[in-house]
Amino acid sequence: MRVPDGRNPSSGVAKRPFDPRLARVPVVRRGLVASVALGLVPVGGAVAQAVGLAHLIAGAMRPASAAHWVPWLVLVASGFALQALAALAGDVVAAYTTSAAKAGLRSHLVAAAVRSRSSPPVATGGSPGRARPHAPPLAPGEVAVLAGPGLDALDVYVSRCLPDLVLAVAAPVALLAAVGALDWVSFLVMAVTLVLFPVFGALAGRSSLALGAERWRRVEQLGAYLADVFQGMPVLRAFGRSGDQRERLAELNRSLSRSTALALRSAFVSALVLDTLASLSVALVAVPLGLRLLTGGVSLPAALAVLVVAPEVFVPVRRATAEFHESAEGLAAMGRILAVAAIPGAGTVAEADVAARWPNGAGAAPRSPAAPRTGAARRAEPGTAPGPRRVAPDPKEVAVALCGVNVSFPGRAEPVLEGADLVIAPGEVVALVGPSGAGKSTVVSLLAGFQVPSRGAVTVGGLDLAEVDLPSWHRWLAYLPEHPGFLPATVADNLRVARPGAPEEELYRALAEVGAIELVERWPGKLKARLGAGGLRLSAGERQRLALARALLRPASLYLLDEPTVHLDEAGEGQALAGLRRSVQGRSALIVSHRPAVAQVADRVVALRERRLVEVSAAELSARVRS
Amino acid sequence: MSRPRLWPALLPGALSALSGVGLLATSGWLITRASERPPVLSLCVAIGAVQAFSLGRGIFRYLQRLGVHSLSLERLGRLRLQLFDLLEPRVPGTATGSEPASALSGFLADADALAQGLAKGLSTATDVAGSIVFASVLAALVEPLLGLAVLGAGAGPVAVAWAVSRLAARSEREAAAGRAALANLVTETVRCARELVVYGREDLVGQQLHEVHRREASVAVRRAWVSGLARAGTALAAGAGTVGVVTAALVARSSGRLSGPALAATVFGALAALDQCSSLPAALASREAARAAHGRIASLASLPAVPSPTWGPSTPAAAGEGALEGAEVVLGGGVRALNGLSLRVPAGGRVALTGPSGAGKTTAVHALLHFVECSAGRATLGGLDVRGLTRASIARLAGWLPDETYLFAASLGDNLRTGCPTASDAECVEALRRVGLAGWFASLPDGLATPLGAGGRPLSGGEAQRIGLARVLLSGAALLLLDEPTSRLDPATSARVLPELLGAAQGRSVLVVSHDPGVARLVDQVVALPRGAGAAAQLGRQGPAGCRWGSAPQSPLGDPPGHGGLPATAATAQP
Repeated sequence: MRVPDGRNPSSGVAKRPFDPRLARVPVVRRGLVASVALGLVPVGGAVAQAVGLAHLIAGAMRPASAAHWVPWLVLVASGFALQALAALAGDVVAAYTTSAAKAGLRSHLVAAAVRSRSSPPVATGGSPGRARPHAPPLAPGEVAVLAGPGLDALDVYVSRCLPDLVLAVAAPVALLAAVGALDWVSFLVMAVTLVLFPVFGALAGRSSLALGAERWRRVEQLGAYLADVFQGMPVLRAFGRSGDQRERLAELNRSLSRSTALALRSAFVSALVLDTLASLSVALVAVPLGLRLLTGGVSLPAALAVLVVAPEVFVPVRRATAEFHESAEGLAAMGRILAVAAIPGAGTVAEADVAARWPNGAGAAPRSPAAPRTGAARRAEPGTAPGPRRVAPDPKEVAVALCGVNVSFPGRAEPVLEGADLVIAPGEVVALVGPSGAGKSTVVSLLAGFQVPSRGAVTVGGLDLAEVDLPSWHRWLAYLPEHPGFLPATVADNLRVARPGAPEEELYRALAEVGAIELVERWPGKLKARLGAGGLRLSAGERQRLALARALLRPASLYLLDEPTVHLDEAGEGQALAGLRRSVQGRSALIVSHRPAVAQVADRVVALRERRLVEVSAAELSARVRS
Repeated sequence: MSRPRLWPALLPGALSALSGVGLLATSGWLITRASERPPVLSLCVAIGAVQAFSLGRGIFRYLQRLGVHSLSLERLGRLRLQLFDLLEPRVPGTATGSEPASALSGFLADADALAQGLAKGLSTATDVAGSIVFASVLAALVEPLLGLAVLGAGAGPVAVAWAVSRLAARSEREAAAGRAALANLVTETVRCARELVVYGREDLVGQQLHEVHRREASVAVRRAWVSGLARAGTALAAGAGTVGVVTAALVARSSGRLSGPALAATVFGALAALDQCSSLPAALASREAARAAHGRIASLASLPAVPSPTWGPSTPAAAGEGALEGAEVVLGGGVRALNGLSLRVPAGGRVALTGPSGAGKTTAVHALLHFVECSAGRATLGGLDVRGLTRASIARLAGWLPDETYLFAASLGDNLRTGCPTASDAECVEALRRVGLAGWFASLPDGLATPLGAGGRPLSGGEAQRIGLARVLLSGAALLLLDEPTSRLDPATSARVLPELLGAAQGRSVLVVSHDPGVARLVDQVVALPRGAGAAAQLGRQGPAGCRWGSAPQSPLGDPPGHGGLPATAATAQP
């Protein structure tokens, strides 16, 4: 599979087939060194073959006994064996290094994506309390594409293109050295052609590129058009318009084969030049050798060995040029991954950092004080004051409040919240209602510390949340986001995320509260049923119930629940709300919903209107429900 | 299209193989013969041949590339048309079900893989077979038994590469499964990032990733062993062949049947041929990919197609009406998606179809649009059986808005005119106004020329669905089939957009499929499909009475089109 942007071989990135940032990732560098070293082994094999064959043939000019052949035959065979071993070892080593490199980059990528979703924007030093708007977090699907197909494109680049690029220089030099040791004149001839090779290649490449670029663009446009027609085929069929498009497709095919034939003619010119130069150099070496043999200017074995080696000199260069397009794809993917992952120094500390943040070793490495979790990662970001943070008080005992809070997002002219005030007293259940897009989820993010107000403050018992150690604050929270997720593990494991080591009765109690018992009973393996690829496929309603059960499982002091009953039908909603009310009894909660039923379980209803939070009376609410 | 001729691809390939073998063989002959110090003139022919072969090789290779690529392009063109013809009577419905639109362009990638496999396979096959044949002919001319030796030496690497490529297919399948698991893990991890942070369980991500990386590495290493074995085995077989040919030649030489230069020519020719074998593993790998692609396309052909007649009745009696009468639908794989469902949307009426996933809601809509065939019972539009209607008349009778409207990479105007090519600009703007996009449209600097779709103006999900509805409204269809029109939107937006879509459809009959319980307030009647096809059979026996009627049931004929059936006046349908 390809990464969408990587499709275009004429994209700007392709101009330089090598990105120095990559070589600074240690595992890539080690793999590159190993691949190049293994790539040079076949060069030795080719020389051994050449020398062996040369002596066998030269020896055959005069009658000789079979005993003389054997050592040279062994040399030829070992030359091939060396090539075979190097091919096998090269592939396996490349697999190990690229797996390791991908694992490292992917961990960074996912860590960066998790961070971008859950960390407040970094406050800039100049204006305290003012948050710099940051780039919107990547959608889960985008990260998955980057971490999957994106890294696979990199795979080919790291394991094949990059070593071949280095070998395109190293292998001809090594082979030329061998030729030089055998015959100086041939060395000079081949050195000159080898120097001409890239020159001619570049010249021919440029002219054919200039000729073909416009036509290739048309070919690519056709590709985009085809994808468009195929994806929209259901629409065409529904409107009875497929026939028109089929005719157009047939017509385009005809004009395409004409224009592509022209494009190909120029595109292959550079290949023609390089191929001809490569085979011409064999003739350029062979003919003078023959003429010099007439006068005895060179020994026969040396001449034959040079002749066998000569065609090999150009192979690595041809291979590297042929892989140019694939390298463009890999580079494009890498540019995006490095940009998202924001690898510090692209490898100067990358590896140590990966090890510290994501315990890859058996995954069970305890969170050591030296490598603490997000709090540390967040503090480590530039521009944040590293000063000591306060420990958050328990919201069961103190009020949580928004005080004159402003929040604005980049790309939105108007702020989402402006001077918003809200107090959640200990043990109070507050419902937050309002039209969609009004910023209800932003209020939840503020309270969870995932969003920092650009003006005003979020306070916990009078303490500014910005000065609080977030992990200590999160200890008190249960959190249900708008789009909950589930790891590919068992149902029980997913529930226990909120409360590690919770006994099975507790899990069932939480499931019962949201009316999900029958649901779980129906699944094969019940709580041990696996979710994710190859496991259970949950409907939106089933996901919602499980996610709510997970939040309610947690013995928290403040429940932040974003749309807890969405995707549930009315009966399910009533059941879930009743269970919710029982579970949060005596604790504080903020329940965001656009559904009126939620108001019935809340002590108080607050509406988000014109960027402010206003109290809604019971009478007003029931009037709204009626309308 | 006539069958493309193969010779423009094969002949230059064979000639280039001949030149490659000839270049090394004559060079070898030249050098060994020169070492015997003959008169210079006797070498002239060989010198000329060396130079001719060296030039010819490059030129023939160029011609071969051109021939092979234009052949594969021609094949690609035909494949695309074939694919179009295969997919058109099968989407949506039988072929893709609810798969996203991008799955359809996946078939295009398959066509690309097939054409590429053809190009690579064809050129490698000519290179390898051609040079082995030429080298063995050359050897046979010198000494018949040597010809056999060269042929045998060439067969070795081919057999080895072929055998190992069979192993590769399995590891490719494992890798594909691994990729799917990885995509799922990453998507879900990022989605639950905040929960993990709040609960202090980011370590779980590390554990999960570690597991994925472990599996990925083991698959990758296994694949590497297979591909490495293919390359190593081919190289070893080529080495064994070389040693065999050299030994055979030396034996012939020592028995005096062969001159020194002839031996050199034979050995060098064989060497040139065996050198070509190194490209075999890569070509065979692309052949495996092409085979998999071919399998996917072929499995498409085995799905039931639903063709429509090219002519049929054009003026139906009761436009706006749509009905399923005891409709049974069996999808590919024998899955019963509908089991005797009866429902009727009277002209001007509004009916909601609800029920759990898998109950057959989408299939019911597809049956009405004749995207799928009823195996029993029938689907009618305007009183006519859909099987007798052309696609054009179905489009006039029923407009379709799926959960995710596909907008083409074209201008807003062209997208709107998909439904009605003759619509004027004013009509397009009016349709946009009716779906509540007047304000949005006013903000567009380029108006109807604004590019949409891939590379065009980004749209929110709600905007895209409204444009989709505007397109359907423009088509003038009397019955609108809205299949979960807001299910891809977030719940809050959905709650706002759904009534607006239904409001815009004012004056036409509507069948709306929705999960949203709030939809009951917006329609005259709710038909609830129970879970599973078996329970649907019960419904079918009860006929329309199995439906839950609203408190304000419609008369069978319904109100005439154009009545003021706004959501506010529609009664709720609560039990």
